[in-house]
Amino acid sequence: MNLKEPSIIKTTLIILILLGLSIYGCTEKNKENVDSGTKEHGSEIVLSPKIIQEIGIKVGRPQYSILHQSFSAQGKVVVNPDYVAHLNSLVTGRVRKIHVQIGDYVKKGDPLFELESLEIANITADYIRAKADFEAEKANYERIKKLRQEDIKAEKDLITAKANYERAEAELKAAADRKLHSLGFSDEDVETMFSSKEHRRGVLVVKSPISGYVTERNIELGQLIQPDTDIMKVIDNTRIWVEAGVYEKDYVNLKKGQKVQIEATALPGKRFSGKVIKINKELHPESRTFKVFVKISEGKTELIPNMFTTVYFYYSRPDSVLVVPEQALQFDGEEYFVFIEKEPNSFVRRNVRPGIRADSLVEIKSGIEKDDRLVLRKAFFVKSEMEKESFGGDQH
Amino acid sequence: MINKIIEFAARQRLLILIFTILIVAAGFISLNKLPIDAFPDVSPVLVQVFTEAPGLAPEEVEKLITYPIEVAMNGLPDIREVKSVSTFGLSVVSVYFEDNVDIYFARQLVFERLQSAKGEIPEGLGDPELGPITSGLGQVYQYYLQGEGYSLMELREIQDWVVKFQLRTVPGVTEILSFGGEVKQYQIQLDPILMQKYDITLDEILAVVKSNNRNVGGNFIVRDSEEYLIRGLGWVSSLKDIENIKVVRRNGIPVFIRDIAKVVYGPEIRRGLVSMNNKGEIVSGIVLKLLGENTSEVINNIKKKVEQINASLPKGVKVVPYYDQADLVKKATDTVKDALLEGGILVIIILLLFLGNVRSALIVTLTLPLSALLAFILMNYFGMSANLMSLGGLAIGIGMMVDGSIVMVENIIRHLSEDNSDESKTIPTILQAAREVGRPIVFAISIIIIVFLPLFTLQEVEGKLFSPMAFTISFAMLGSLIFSLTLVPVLCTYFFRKGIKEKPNFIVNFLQSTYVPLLEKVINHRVKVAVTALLLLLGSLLLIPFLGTEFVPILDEGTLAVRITLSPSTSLQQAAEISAAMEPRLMEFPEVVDVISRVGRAEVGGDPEPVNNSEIYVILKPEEEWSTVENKAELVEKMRQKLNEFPGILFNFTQPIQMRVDELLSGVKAQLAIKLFGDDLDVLAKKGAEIQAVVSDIPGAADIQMEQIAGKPQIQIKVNRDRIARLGMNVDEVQEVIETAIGGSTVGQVFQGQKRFDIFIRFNETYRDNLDKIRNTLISTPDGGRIPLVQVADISLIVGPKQISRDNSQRRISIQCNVEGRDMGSFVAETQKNIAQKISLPPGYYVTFGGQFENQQRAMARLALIVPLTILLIFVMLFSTFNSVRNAFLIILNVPFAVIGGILALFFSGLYLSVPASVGFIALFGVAVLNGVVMVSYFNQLRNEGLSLHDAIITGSKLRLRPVLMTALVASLGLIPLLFSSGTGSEVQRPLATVVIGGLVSSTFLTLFVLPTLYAWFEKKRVEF
Repeated sequence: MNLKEPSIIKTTLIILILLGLSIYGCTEKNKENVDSGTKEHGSEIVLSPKIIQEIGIKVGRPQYSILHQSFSAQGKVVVNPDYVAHLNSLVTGRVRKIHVQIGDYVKKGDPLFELESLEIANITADYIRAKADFEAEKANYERIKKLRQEDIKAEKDLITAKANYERAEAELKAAADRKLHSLGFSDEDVETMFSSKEHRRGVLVVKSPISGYVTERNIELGQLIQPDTDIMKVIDNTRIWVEAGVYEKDYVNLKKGQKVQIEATALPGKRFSGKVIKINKELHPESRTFKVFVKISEGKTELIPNMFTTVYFYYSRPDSVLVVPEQALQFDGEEYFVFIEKEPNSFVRRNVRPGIRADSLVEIKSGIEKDDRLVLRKAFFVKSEMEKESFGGDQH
Repeated sequence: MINKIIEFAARQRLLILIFTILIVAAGFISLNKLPIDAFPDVSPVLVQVFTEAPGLAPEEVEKLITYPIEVAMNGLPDIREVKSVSTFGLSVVSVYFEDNVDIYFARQLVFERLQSAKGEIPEGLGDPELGPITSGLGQVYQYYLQGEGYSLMELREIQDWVVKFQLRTVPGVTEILSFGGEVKQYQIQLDPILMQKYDITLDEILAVVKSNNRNVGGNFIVRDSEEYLIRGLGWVSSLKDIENIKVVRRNGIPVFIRDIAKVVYGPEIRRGLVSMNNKGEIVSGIVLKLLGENTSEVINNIKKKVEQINASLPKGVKVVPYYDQADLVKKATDTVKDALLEGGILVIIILLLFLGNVRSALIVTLTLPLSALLAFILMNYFGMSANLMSLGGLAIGIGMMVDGSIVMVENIIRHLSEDNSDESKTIPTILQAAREVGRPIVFAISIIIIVFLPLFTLQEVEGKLFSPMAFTISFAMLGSLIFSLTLVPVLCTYFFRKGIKEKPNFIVNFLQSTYVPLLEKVINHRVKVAVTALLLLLGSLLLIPFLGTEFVPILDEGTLAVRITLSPSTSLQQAAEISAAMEPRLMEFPEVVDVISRVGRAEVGGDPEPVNNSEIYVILKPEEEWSTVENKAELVEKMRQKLNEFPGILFNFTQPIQMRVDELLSGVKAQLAIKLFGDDLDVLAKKGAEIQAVVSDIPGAADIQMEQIAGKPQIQIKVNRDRIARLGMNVDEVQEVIETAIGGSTVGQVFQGQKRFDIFIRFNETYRDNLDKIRNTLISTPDGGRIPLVQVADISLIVGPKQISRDNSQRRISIQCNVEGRDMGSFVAETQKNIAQKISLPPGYYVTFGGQFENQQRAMARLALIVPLTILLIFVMLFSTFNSVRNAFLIILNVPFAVIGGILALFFSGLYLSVPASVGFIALFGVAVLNGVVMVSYFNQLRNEGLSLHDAIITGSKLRLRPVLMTALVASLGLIPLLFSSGTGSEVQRPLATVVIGGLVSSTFLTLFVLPTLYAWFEKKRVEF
């Protein structure tokens, strides 16, 4: 109890002093700071604690912080090109059957649509013929080979038969098998070619080469397909990238592996993170941008290909710098300055050199030390009070 | 001539009575028709040209708008001065004409020239408009809209489209300025990112909005025998309509406005707001009175209309006035009315005491109201208004108005008492008596009218202030002349038909018996008397340097206005917050009824206030109800202390009308304005600050403020021509984005009944609210690409000019200040000296002094010329009457004698030598000269009758004691009420009354003692020769 008494006295004293000051009101001491060592100049501005509280002037120390600067670029969601499948036909044909609708999810190998075509029929027929040829030549060759072993046939016959066999095989493979595969028949299809009536009729069942969503379907039943028609597109939208156009001015701050945040117009308020994985080293002449690909870190997202996005690229120097809130920094047309608290409720201007700005913070390169106490908020009022004499009245 | 008039009156007595009744009737009718104002309107003949150029910085406004208009105005006939202010988004050119120019003619001239100026202003920058036809007294009625549960935007809509519309129809109202609240707009808030994505340019959007909002007429067709009009309806009428405007088609799919923008109701960009009683923002209106209309009638009409409007407004919404001039008008006229009434009563008492006869006192008193009524008729005829000054003229003249009839009645009574033989002789006797004094009366009254001549020659403000006074006095004197020559004798014939016997008057007898022995003593010490008088005169003249000087005392309006100035960079929102913080501080005083802060400016047409300025109206209770302070000065001082707590603000106490009038007169809102002229804004600012420092060191300087010409931060976007050239772009393509995307522009209107709202297009705020976003604003390139602004322009932050003021085409800065506890004249002299000594100006720069001080100098210079001339004129008149230089000189000597008392009275009352005080001196001269005339002419008459010089002087003085004392007493007692009145306007009348009363005391004394002595001396010399 006894120990506490002095502190009570102290508190009372402080309160009394504060009261005295508040009655004293806000006055200005015209104490010029002659000390040229500090960069302070002008008179001290004294404000009453009551006013400081009413206005909301906040005094505190500057902080060390890493400033996360950023620039932004416009972009859109694209699918990783490795996960895009375009489906089309090498031959003219007619759509016989469609298995899927836009938006359907298909697994790799699921049938998408069926095409019937004279060319396919021809190629199939060619194949069957070649196959028959091949079988025949093969049988012939084997027979002759056997006979030759028994020396029934002459070596010349064997050579001929072998040549025929190899030719038939090549024909089968090159002419028929390759063509069929090119058309989209799988090995299995080819194998079942003889058992399947449809195949024989020239019907091609097109299957999805990848798992994913059908995003394009440009055919209708019975439609005649030309080789240049884009028939369907299947993409795997879980494998998406964001493509962004970075302006020249920001190129210096662009790096592979750089962290980014992505905001989609369609998903306001949501942010996805990612990093730069590819930078196109050519400047697009019309848009005047560098194409940059960004990979999204989250596995599955609501981002859908072609969604418009804004990409924020973050860059910062690794070291932390002395920062103050932007509100603390004032500008008079020539110089930047802050207000240092000399003693409680008394402030003096000090010129500073500002650096970079980010997140309403601004780096102070020189002018203040980390132990200085300065006005962090509502410095505008202190500045107004300082300039009061000079800013003059308004007349016309 | 004079005799003929008197004879005619005596013959046609009935006619005179009828004539009098007619005048009474006409007088009352005129009185009712007279426009009633508080103060005379001293506003100059001024035509203002306002040009709004939204978004344009002061430099561009000056160059592109103000300059062409100024140039066009030069060389107009009868022009006095052209002043201009170019500030952010607004150019105001004020063209001042000579006072005799008709305002409508002046407007016509300005309007014609404006047509040529319009051609010089680049297309689309702004459309110059003439300001309202009003004056400094024009803001007669101010109100706010009360409406619980209504948003500021809704209230403003009601204000603009209902209240304003209806109030405009009130006769005598020229304009209503809406102030505060939010003007509704249909806003298209563009999303530049979406624009980029859909590959839509700003131009395309502007074009489609314009081409999707039109009604057309398709003429008519005839069906059978009837005509059917054809209308094509295509106006947008709702937010939805705008949303559904198609911009482009992409892959067959239309892109609508709604796809790339938010379409919402939003507030117009505003440069002003109003808040009240610490309860937040309000919507208010200022009613401007048409120049020359009857203030009280207009206010009455407005009040009636407001009742009607209130009945028709939506439930809960009400028009509530917070300031009107009706009170002020009433108070000011009451002050004068009271003075008139009380003065009248005092005059009657004096008359009764001295004449000792009720009937004669009644006859004399009658001339008072009659003369006043005749003055009203003439005022009405000449289109003058009844106000503090013109009615004040009557109050001042009250004592002089009875002079003529006093002389007339007195003479008639004297004759009747002498010759009282029979009733039939009454009329001829009266006629005889009237003839006798006819000429002297005409002479005396002419002298009084002549002494007021100098007032007619005053120019500008002082002329407008004091010439009504001179007019009414002259009118009333003319009336008193007419009535004393006609009506008074006629009434005497009725009242004194049975003759009259003058009873001995105790007071007069007593005075005479005291006076004569004294005079006998004095008359023998003529050297002593002369020396004493001379010494007194010298002594009082020596006091003049110690008298402070001022122009006109400030009239108390009963309402305070605090002008608050903040740092020039302050935003509207911040300024509003600070004003709001002032409100509770002012409301702490129980004397305060309402506090209304007007931040920035109202609609175009009012004062072009910047947003860092606010005017706080402090409506006060009547002074009788004040509890915590004694008087206004104390209240102001306490408020000053209270406001001083707050950092970063400058404030200035003034009054609503005073503020406006000061502004119109010299373009500054204080008593003294020091103007520094020169070309370079930076030099002006620097040297201006030096002048300010010099002025603030001079004792008496208060509220010193330098005009804020600098200090507005700018983001300068300088298009880099090399870079845009590489991209194949024009400067315009960049500028349009700055103008429309960042600044915003109006692309059309939405009509709803008679309401119309702008369609305003701008980037959504989130894309332009900081420097970084502005740097990154995208601009379409001809290749179809888009490029950030910073890649084609250099963007920098500077602090630039806030406003550019020019007087007669030359840039200037002004330093204004008020003077406290000291007289204006010496303060200005010291200021001029110090500035000349301490400040060196670059070549081409010079300083002028203006403000009220200017008026005072001009007024005094004019009086210094005209008053001696008038005295000379009087001298000539006296000479022609007396045919004697000596007599004339002797009478004129009364003038300096009168001055003695006037100066002493000023000195001891502590009042300043002002224009009203000078008017007091002028009035004084008249009475003093008259007294001299009365004395000297009687001495002459008696000597002609054969009396010796000594006897003539003693007898004459004795007999003339009564009229001299009566004249002096009625003249001074008539003014007593003005001296002690504390009502509105008494500030102006008090110095006048003080001088007259003080002067009459000395002048009467000297007339009674010194004049006879000097007469004896002068005449003895002649006799001895």
